[in-house]
Amino acid sequence: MVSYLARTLVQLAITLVGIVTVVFFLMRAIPGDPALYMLGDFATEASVEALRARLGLDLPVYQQYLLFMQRALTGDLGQSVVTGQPALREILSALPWSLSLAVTGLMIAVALGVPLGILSAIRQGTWVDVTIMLVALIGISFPVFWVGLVAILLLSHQAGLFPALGAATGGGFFTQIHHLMLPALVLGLSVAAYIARLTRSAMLEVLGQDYIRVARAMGVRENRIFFRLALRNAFIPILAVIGVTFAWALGNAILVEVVFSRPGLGSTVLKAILARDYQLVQAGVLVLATGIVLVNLTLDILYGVIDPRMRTGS
Amino acid sequence: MSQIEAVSTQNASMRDPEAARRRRRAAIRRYTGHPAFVIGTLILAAMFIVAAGAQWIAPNSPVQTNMALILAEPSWTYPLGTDQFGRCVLSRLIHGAQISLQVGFWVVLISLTFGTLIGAVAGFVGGWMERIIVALIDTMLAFPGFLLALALVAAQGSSLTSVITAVAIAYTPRVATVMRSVVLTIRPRPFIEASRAIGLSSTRILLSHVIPNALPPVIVVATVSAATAILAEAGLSFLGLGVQPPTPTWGSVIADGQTVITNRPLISLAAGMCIAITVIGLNLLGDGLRDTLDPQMRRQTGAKML
Amino acid sequence: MKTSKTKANQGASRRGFMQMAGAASLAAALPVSFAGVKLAHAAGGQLRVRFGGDISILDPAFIFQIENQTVGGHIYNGLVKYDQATNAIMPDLASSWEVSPDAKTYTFTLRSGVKWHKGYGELTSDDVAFSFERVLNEATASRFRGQLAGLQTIEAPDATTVVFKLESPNAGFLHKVCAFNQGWIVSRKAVEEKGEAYKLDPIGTGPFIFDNWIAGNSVRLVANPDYFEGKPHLDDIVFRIIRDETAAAIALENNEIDIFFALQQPEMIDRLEAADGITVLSRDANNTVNLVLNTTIPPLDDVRVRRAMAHALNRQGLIDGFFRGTKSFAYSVLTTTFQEFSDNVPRYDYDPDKARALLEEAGATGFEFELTSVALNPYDRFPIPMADDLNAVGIKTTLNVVERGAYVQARASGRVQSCITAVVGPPDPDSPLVTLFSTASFPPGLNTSRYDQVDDLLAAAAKELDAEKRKGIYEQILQRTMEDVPVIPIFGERLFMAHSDRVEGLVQNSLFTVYTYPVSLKG
Repeated sequence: MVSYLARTLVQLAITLVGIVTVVFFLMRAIPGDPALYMLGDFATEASVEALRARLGLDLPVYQQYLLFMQRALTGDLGQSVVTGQPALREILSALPWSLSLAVTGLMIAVALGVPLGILSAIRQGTWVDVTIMLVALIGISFPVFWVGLVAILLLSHQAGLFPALGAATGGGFFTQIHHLMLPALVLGLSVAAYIARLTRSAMLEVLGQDYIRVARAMGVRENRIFFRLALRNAFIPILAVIGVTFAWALGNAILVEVVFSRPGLGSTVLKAILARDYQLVQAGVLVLATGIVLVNLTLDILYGVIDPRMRTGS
Repeated sequence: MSQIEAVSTQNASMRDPEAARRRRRAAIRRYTGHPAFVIGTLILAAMFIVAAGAQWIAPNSPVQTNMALILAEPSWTYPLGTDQFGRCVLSRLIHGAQISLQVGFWVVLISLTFGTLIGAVAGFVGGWMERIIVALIDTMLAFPGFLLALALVAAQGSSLTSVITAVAIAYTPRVATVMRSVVLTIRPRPFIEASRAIGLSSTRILLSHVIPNALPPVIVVATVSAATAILAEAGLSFLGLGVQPPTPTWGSVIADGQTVITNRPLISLAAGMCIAITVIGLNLLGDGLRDTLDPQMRRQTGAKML
Repeated sequence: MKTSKTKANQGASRRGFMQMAGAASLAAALPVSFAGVKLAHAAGGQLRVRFGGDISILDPAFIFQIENQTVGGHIYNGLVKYDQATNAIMPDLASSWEVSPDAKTYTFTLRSGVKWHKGYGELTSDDVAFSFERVLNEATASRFRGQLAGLQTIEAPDATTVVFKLESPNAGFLHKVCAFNQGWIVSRKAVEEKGEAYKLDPIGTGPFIFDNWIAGNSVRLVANPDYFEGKPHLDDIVFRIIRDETAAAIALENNEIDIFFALQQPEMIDRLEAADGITVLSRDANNTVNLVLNTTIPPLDDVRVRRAMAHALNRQGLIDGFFRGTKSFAYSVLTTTFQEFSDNVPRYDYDPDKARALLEEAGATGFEFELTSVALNPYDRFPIPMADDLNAVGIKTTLNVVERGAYVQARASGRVQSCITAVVGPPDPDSPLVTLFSTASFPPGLNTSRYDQVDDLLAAAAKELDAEKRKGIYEQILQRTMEDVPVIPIFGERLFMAHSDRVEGLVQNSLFTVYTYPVSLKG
């Protein structure tokens, strides 16, 4: 277990260095630079040069890279080119927004998706199954930002149930939750559809296994088969989906964040990409990637705990 | 059970033409008897016909603006009304099918080709090569797909080609992961061992045995990734990073319609429906293929495609 | 012990959660009850203003974008300021000033007893000198260094006197020290103490004090009780970032915000104008939106081709159609808000036949034309019908809409055939005219047409102290530039903002910012 952990940690470090390298050069391959972005309408030859020098952009790219890596190793991800604030701090301030959205959305998704998926598998082939799967199919087929817009129109504007803004500016815990509900619902419903579909197929697969048939043949009660045998074994793939979805929701919820005017990691990185704020993009992607890698790592370890056969890792 | 059976029926069918015919007929029955597959195919076929015949089907030009006909109500000439440029919304949607299907098709083709190759090589060759490829794939996967596509579009400038390549690059590692995991399950199978034993080269085994046998789940993944690509194009358009105006795409119709959503909800509603119907078609087709091609593969696909 | 405590908390929050779910149907009542709480303080209260984008930098040496400038306007003062309603130049930190007869020396007398926010002491002439020297210093890399070109020395002979000496006469120099962008005065102590952090931790003398910024969410300012013109009516202002206009309009109708700043969508304007309890304000802005043609790239070097394009564009049709009358017709690049505005300039009516004839004459039929614009609403949209107009007279037009970073890069390279540009700024005629037409603004500046025919007139206007004569020179500049049309003004920007009935005393300016010092909230 210890050597497995050590190996995984080394792999994690390599992945993170890799991703930061990719991002570093990708950002510099994009036309336009922060100096031009900031000087805008009043740019002159001299002012562009002066600002580039001030931001350290006049050095050759490989030197900038070495410098960046050197600082990153000491935990210094630099300052946002535009705002002058420490890049990591700005990213970390967006993290709670993303986490709360992802966690709440996922709770809604699991609460809806898993039972519906199981129900669908139990009633395979009946109208219950068909209806659930049809709804789930529709759920994953609409663009999420579009669902968000329609939700604002119907639930916020027409029905007045929720605020149109997906984030409060102050107020207590409940005010925050009230603002969070609509975006979480929109995110949650689309993820619920995925989870329902995958829960169903995981369950069906388990139900098709020989030992279930044997159990049935031995006269074990259906309820017991579903909840003792099938569900337990379907747990791992379901867990995998939840883990992957969580990581996905951290970075890919940009469109939900934009529609609901909510801060978050995804929209912070988007803003930084558009402003060519190199340091901010690098810090953001590093945090996102760390999150995703950590989720995967946790899942790997959980598999090991749940099912010792998987401990060696593939 | 199915592993051995698959190999043995495969071998049998090679020798016995009668058995092959029987098998083919059974396969056809399996597809036609699967409602998801049938409906999915029908939806996509319809979309394809609309896209291919767009210039004859569309009642008006999809790009011609008319400042005297802004946001017209639906009429016989403009069945879905006009947008804020006075362009026929229905015609834009009909022509938009071309672009969306193109995006889906090319993204699938590119990510399938490269993803399959990369994943197959990694899974089959093993050793340091596998470790490097896996590290690279992990690196790519740790980057949120949509953000990567976004950065790539920003890098290349907005155009149909750059949207396609960006989405394809972002989703290739996902196909590669699925391919690799499938190949890993195929590698120890008896017929691969046998091929080695009779002295076939690695490349030969890879191309003629490993990839064809691993394709079914990857094809399922491909249908899902076509759906993802179409949704990604819509998302990029919504953020103003889609293809160049005035090119009609479903994403740009939603984005244009979104600015007038309170007084003309029909515009973005219709475009949203076009996307949803196509994506539903692709998902149904994927479901159908998954069930009919290889029931064993339910689990490997899907989860990794997010 | 510990565990039981956590459990109890969880139980509470879970219960609370259930209550929330139950209360969801009462949600509509929630904001009302908050408003009810506000009733308690008769004056004061919190003003909530919609921003379309986040702030990024509040240091006057670097400040750009309307959101930053709006916050800056609440925090800082200048030596002089524009009257919100009339754009006349008024005293601000300077109580009086004198201009030497040769227009080369400007002497300002400061108000005394003006205090910096957050205990940074009293404003002195040294702070004023520091503010401008900093912008002039090449190492600062300020974006406004060019604005102060010709400023030789700044002296502070005593604590309340500042003397500016110019290399050459500049009758328009007051505009450069007016309360906007580089004209905002900073505290030497604060800037030197805070370093890079100053960019988002500003210290000013204005009616509101910067309180906090939640990235992507909001900016909060609190009232400055010591403001020299008197304490503001409001307690605090929250600028709320809402990108989408539909969501912002719904938020205004739901009473989640009080002022909808930077309202642009024509449909949204119609909608809010019809809504109960909401007032829509509008005013011409200080800028036009222009099609800038690169006069060094054939066939655009031929004035007949440029005139043909001006005739080919149905600009009034665009304003009435796509914009539904929410923009103004542009005679030249100066809008009606400038004292120097004139409509006595060559005009180009929509006339496709004339356009075709001109192209024929120039031998430039069927050339390929790329129009570069930026992927920001509406700049990514209104060029679409323009391209149709140009295609209709045989100019093969394609659009190149790119996101802002790439757009700025393309523009600064000076190699694009054309681009859509607006010079958003103060009602200083030099702001659009020097920026668009002076050879000093060649790329990477905004003169991407590389037009060089009005340098002499611009210099003459700077020397002329007589207001009427000066206006005459500007009219000549407008006539010459419209004669040569290196830049085709597409429309005059018009600013819209909407507010709920709670808001009283809001005056709209033409700067593309909102200034809420005079605002009070009704109970």
